[in-house]
Amino acid sequence: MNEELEKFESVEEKALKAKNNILPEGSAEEQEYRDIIFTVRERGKKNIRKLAKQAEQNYKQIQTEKSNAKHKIMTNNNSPSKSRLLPVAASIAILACAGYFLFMNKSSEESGSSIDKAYAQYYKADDKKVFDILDRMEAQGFASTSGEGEDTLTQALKYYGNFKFDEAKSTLSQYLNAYPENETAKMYMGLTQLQLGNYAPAIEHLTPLYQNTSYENHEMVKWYLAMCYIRVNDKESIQKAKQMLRELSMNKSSEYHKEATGFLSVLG
Amino acid sequence: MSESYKDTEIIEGLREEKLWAFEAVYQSSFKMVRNNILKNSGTEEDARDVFQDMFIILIDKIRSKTLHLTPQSKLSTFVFGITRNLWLNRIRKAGKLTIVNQEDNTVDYVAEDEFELLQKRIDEDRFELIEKAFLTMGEECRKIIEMFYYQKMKTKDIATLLSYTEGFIRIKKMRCMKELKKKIINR
Repeated sequence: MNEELEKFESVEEKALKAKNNILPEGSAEEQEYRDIIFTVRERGKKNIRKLAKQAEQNYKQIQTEKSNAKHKIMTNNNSPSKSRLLPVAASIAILACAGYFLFMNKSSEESGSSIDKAYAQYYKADDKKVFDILDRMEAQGFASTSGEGEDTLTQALKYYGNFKFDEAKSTLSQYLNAYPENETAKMYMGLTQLQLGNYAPAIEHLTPLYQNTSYENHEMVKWYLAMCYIRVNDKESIQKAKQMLRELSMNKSSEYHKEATGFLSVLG
Repeated sequence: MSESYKDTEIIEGLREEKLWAFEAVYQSSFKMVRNNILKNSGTEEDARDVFQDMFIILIDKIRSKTLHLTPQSKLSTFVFGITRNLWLNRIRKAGKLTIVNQEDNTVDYVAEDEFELLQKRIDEDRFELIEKAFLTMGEECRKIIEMFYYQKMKTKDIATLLSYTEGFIRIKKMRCMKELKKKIINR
């Protein structure tokens, strides 16, 4: 065994050196290992690019939300009727309560920011199940790896899996017009809307699937629906999200058990 | 670097490929990098591409422990430096611009040239074949191979993480690689 291990490690070392320093190619065995190392690293790089793309989407979404909020504040401040309606007495009352409100705002902002932080940490667009579904569809003859003659749903799922959410949304919408009851399409429409920051339509698509407890991706739907409610972030929505996260957290075999438990610890 | 995370936290997050760490880097540095690329004859698309590629180099530097933060050099400084080099390199290639004496840029240039050379050598079919064979392996084998060859972890650290002895990991890795080779040949 020792001899075999030493031989392997010597070939491995040469392959690694060749990979890192671009040394001339060695034996066929070294080349083989070099190719494997290259492939493993490329797989990793692909994953990094995918994460970067998703982070970029989320970053854009946050920027849009910020700019919308800014616009809303500016519009409110410019409203003449509002300024007429502000009596001096109210101003005094507001000033008197300023300390209290400042304190309240601060704690609500802090809790908001911890939820945002947890969301950023635990939420990510699905990049596994979508490819499993595509594989299954391909095996059943619905999807084609070459891209020729593939149906709209396959195309939409590929867009989603590659984080092209705007394209996924329009393709899914086309598909749902023709097949409004397709559960996979409904689920990914919900996930796409969530990713694009359209929480109400996301909830609308995911809720019927959540209510159908025999749906094969029920746990996944529960997790993403909880994420929608987290983003809505009002009292009632947070309660709903908590309930769903508790259910996921209690189910140790759930693939979302760890994330749900982590998220709940932030929500308290 | 970010309002809510410390540089050291982000570095750990990137090492583990956590989405929130990528987002933190976007929040703190994307605007600055984008503006710089736009000022230097690049487009929005170029800025996005370069920023994505930057993560590959940054994570590689973190894993190979060649990223040294000091109070003067924050993570955002590295991000800016890497994207600047990547962008200059692209301009150089596109316009045959020769950049002399780029000091520590050398590593990044080599990384890209190396990538191209290997990319040429391994045609796509072969890449796909190896990848498919890799995906049929057991989870433990995949983990060990990825930790060692991609995450550049030491055998000792892999052993600690997976609760095995170092010797076991060495043998297991060898067996996994041989199994993978067999799978590739049989495909």
